[in-house]
Amino acid sequence: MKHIAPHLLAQFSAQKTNPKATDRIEAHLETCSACKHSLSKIRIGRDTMKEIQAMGAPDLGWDHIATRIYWTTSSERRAKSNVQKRNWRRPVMALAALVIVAGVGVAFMGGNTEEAQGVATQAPLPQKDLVAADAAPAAIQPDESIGETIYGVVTFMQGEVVDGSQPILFDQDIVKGSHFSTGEGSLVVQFGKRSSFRLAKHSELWVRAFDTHRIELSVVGQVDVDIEKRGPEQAFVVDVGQQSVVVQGTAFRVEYREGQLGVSCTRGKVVVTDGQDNVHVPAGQMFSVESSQWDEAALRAIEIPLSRRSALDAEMAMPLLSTWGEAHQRNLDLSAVLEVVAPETQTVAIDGIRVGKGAFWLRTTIGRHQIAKLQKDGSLRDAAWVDAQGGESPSTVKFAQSVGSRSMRKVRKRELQGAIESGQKARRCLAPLAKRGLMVGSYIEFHVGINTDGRQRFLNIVDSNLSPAIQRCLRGAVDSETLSPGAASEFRLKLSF
Amino acid sequence: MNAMTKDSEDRRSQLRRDEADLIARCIAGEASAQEKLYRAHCRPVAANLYRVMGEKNDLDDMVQEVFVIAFRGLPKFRKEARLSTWLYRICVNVALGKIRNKVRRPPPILKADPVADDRRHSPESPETLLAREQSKAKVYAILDQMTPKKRMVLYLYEIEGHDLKEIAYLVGANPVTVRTRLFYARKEFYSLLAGSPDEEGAV
Repeated sequence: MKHIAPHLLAQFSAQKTNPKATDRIEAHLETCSACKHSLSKIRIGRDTMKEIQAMGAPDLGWDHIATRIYWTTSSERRAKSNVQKRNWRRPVMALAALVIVAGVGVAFMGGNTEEAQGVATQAPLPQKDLVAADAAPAAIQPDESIGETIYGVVTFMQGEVVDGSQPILFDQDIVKGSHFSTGEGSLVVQFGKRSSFRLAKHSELWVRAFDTHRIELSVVGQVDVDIEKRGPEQAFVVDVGQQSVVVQGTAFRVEYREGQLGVSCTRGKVVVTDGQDNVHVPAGQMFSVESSQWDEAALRAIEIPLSRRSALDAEMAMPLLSTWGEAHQRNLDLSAVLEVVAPETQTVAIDGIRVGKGAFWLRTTIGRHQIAKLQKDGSLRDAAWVDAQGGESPSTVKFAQSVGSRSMRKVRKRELQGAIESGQKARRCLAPLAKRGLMVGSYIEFHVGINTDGRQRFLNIVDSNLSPAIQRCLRGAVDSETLSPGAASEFRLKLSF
Repeated sequence: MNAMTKDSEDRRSQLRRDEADLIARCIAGEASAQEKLYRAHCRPVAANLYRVMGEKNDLDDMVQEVFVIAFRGLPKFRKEARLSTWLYRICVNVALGKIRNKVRRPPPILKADPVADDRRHSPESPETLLAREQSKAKVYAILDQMTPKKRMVLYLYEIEGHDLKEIAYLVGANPVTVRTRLFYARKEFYSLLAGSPDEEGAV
């Protein structure tokens, strides 16, 4: 005798069989005790399933779970935001890349000794440092069949920079004959879509030739140059004492002080020559020589230490105007000057890009920019918007000196911590956690600003692994504390439990 | 009557708006909104998981996992389904993962489980309670013997009472596949439940 399949018995039990099948099953069940037994088991099972369906949630540590969820999601958010914070470096690298990309695939000057010899200089070697360097290196007689005049624009200026004996005006044209000296400051000049040079502090630079055929700079001190690829007929020469550095499209640094010449190349290739001997310095290599010992020295470039390379790249990144056009006036019209005043040691980033420290002027595109303090860990603080508007007067942004000295911060921090620990409010907030034994390892970090009258100027939660409810409670507890009048201060306070 | 229908429709659309607002705030990273969402759905989520798994072990971990996945995935939530349905789907997937792991792992050491208040004050005798507990244990023991996929469709159909289309959405499969899977799952489950291996054939 064939029995009824259990799943059909289940269907029968649920009254989901068709009338014909129902009749057959009922007929079978009247005669088959095994199937009857199976049916009763199935009915019990189905009843149990209904009970299961009605089962509610058991008691769980809801707050504990909430804390763990918050901890997990907030750590992920933090990790993400750190990635985003790190991503601010990309524009810096992009800026560097913008400059570097100009030289990729450059036709190196390696075999172009004719040109190298052509620029050999007979300039007298300046024996003095820049400030007294009245005896500037003699100009290499430029080719009289000059090309079209190039106009440079100052895109960054900091500290003491003079043109001859006059202070540099931000909107002045940088042309042949310009002569810059820097004290503690520095200067960046852009002279093409992707070409620029930076004169470092305590340096002096003469623009000997500045046209489409030839650019020639004489330098005492340090200059970083980044030029886009140039045609074979376009010479770019940096004269340093008795030697010249000849390039086509490349990024490099030349340092010439007290007769000591150093050339570091980060992209492309440069040739250092005295008119007779050439030293090829490809990307990633550096060359240094005592200028007067040129004849006896081993004329060989060496690798730039790996540890130094990335720092050099970063140092050599220069702010460029992205709206650069052929018409010089247009470059001035489409850009604006920002004056940034920050504490001397404070690095400032504009649109996420590290621009400079302390006070400086920057030529940038007209429009709204984000300006912020760049912290040592790469994060940005005190970000603000600034509208850069064209015109004669620069838009000024001032960053106040950090409030409170380090020792005062410590004192105020200790005062507040003591007040919180001696009070009962914070303890009450943590009571639910303490009850469950979950308090160990918990923490909360606040960013607190204290006024001179002892009241809190602001109070923000920076980080915590506690549940939002407990965080709110603790914030309330800290918020209710008032310190004695004293110095205004701003600090981070981490409470660990 | 019409006014009542209109009222309930208004209420429903208001609820939907509130839900959309809550989701938007959660996506924006507002901790209070996330907490509100968690508080509103934690018990149904835990109940779902409890019913699927039949035990309290690791239930808190699973609830946590569901909400972490939900908060991560909220920006991708397309609002085709209600938030509760979407959370239910996450529960199903988390439970499936857990069931698969359970097969590979040795059974956990059970923790002492105090009798819940509702059972302690139940008018039923301890024997009846025990019989019910044993019956539940038997159902879950049978479910444990099934493959995770079959177990899940059977659970969703027989215990939760969902139809094929809903199950297809919840398990992310084609309704035809679900129907086939369900057929074999029911056959296997009731066979094991009836416990008489000799029956064959059909009427």
